[in-house]
Amino acid sequence: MWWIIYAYLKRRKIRVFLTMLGVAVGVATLFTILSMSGGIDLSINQQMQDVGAQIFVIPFGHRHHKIMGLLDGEAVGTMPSSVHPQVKGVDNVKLAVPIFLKKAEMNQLTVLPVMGTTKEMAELKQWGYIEDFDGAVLGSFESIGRGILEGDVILLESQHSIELKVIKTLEETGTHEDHYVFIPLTSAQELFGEEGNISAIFVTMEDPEKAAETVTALNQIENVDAVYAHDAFQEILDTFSTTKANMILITGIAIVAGAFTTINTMTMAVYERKKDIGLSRAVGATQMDIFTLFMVESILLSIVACIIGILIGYAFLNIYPFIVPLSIGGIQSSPYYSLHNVLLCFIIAYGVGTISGIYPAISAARLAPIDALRGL
Amino acid sequence: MTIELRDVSKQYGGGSVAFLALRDVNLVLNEGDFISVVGPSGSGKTTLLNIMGCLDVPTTGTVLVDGQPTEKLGDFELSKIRKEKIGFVFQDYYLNDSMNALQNVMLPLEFRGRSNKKEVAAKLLESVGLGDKLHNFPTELSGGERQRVVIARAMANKPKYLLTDEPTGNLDSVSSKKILDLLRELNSERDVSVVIITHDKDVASITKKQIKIVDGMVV
Ligand SMILES: Nc1ncnc2c1ncn2[C@@H]1O[C@H](COP(=O)(O)OP(=O)(O)OP(=O)(O)O)[C@@H](O)[C@H]1O
Ligand SMILES: [Mg+2]
Repeated sequence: MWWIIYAYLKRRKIRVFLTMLGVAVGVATLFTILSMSGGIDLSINQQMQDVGAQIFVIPFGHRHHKIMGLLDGEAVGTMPSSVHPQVKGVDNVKLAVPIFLKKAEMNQLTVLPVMGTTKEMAELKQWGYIEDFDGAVLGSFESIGRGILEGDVILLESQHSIELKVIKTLEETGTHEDHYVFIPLTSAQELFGEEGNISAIFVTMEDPEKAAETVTALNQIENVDAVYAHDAFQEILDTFSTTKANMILITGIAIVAGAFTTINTMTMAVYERKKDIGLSRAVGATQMDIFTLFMVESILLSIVACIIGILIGYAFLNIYPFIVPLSIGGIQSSPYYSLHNVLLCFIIAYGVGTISGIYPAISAARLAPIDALRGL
Repeated sequence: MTIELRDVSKQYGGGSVAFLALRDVNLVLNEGDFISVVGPSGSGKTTLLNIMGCLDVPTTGTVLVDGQPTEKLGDFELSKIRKEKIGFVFQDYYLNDSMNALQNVMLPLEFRGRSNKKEVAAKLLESVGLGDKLHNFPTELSGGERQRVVIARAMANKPKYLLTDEPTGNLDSVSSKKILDLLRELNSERDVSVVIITHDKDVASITKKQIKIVDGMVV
């Protein structure tokens, strides 16, 4: 049977190729979106774990905007340092780490997020022991990528400029913190000319089960907003899944368009091959044989188109970050390839092939042998 | 082993365009027969052949293949008769243009579910003298060569009945003779019952039996 289908496809290479391209473009879009959003989901989760904070205490108002700012390395708004002891005094609070986060220029080379913080950050992020937090701690990309070593001095410039010795370089985490530099809080306040102000406080709890009570207690403090980190990330994930659903819907339209191309090609094939169908019937092909031939051809077209589509999608994802970086809410991500997504594409392609083939295959099978032979 | 037509009539169309192409035809094709069917154009010869080969159904009357009435058979059984017992050579000696000579001959074997299709098809083409044209497409064959491919295809499933419609039409006398020799050989050596529809009196004269059709009636 395969050789019969192959003989037809071989004779109409251009048309077959164009037909497949229709489905392939749809599949490519789907695969790209699935892989991209898979990557984004993954890095949001990764980020959530790596921030280390269980509760964010931020200045009151525009909560979503401020959380995104924190993740993006450029905090929005400030609050006085005096809230820190108040936060620390709340029941169930284990660590309360104040931070000041803004972007500054390093070594007159690059602009990067600078996080001013205290020694307790080392505990929160599990960096290991730091004797005196009196210098800069560099993310792996900034150290390895730029050849800066422990003991080197870096220059940071914003409102003011400061020089700091690198006291530690961090291991790669795969999150945007690889691009961060951590410095003492007071140095950051000096650098940005914001003495006495902080951007946020990262809080961990003794008993994470009591998150709700703790958040309520923290919110009693004036002019601050305490946000349970889990909820904040969930909110980002939810916003993102709506976007994702919309993108997939658009992909659906592309795939339906591809299906129509296939239906059109297969219907034309039935019309063109009428005499061949009649001939096959004359030499003994049953209606089922004819039906099967057209169905298999249609499904085969879609499956091959699916393979092409996945390859196009893969190629695109590999050049895409050079055009537009993959980032949502400041979270960098790389595409996530999963067998699950590949399978999903194949199942959809199989469905498209089946649905597109059904009408042409039935009409081919139902041709009366004698009419088909006459080309009627 | 026979194909028998009992009171077969065939009407094309209906109402004002109705046309009676066959009228009460009674005919028996016996094992080993070598029959020619002659008659003017439009007299119903092709119609008769299609009905004998279970490709078309009579409007009234019965066709019996090897004693089995066919009017109540479904698609599967009729297809089975065509694939196992009957070989057709159509008037326009149609070949599938997307397939080369070898593949055209392989086609009936495919639907029969044969395994060594290529070898069988190649042998058949060799037997009609086309061993060197296996991979030519129909457009790359002469008229006579195409006709021989058609005969090889008709013989692929070793049919007992070979129904040919103008097998030598449009051919010069040399090619024509080749084809006729081939048919005669199949009839005498392999005991295939052969029907030849023809306009040519010389062709008709070599058959053992002749049937004449005029206005859909055997005379
Ligand atoms: N599908 C059809 N619908 C209507 N009329 C038809 C159809 N097929 C054949 N006929 C008519 O039936 C008659 C017999 O046709 P048939 O093809 O059997 O003739 P024939 O004897 O084979 O002629 P020729 O020698 O020209 O091939 C013709 O008058 C033809 O017009
Ligand atoms: Mg005719």
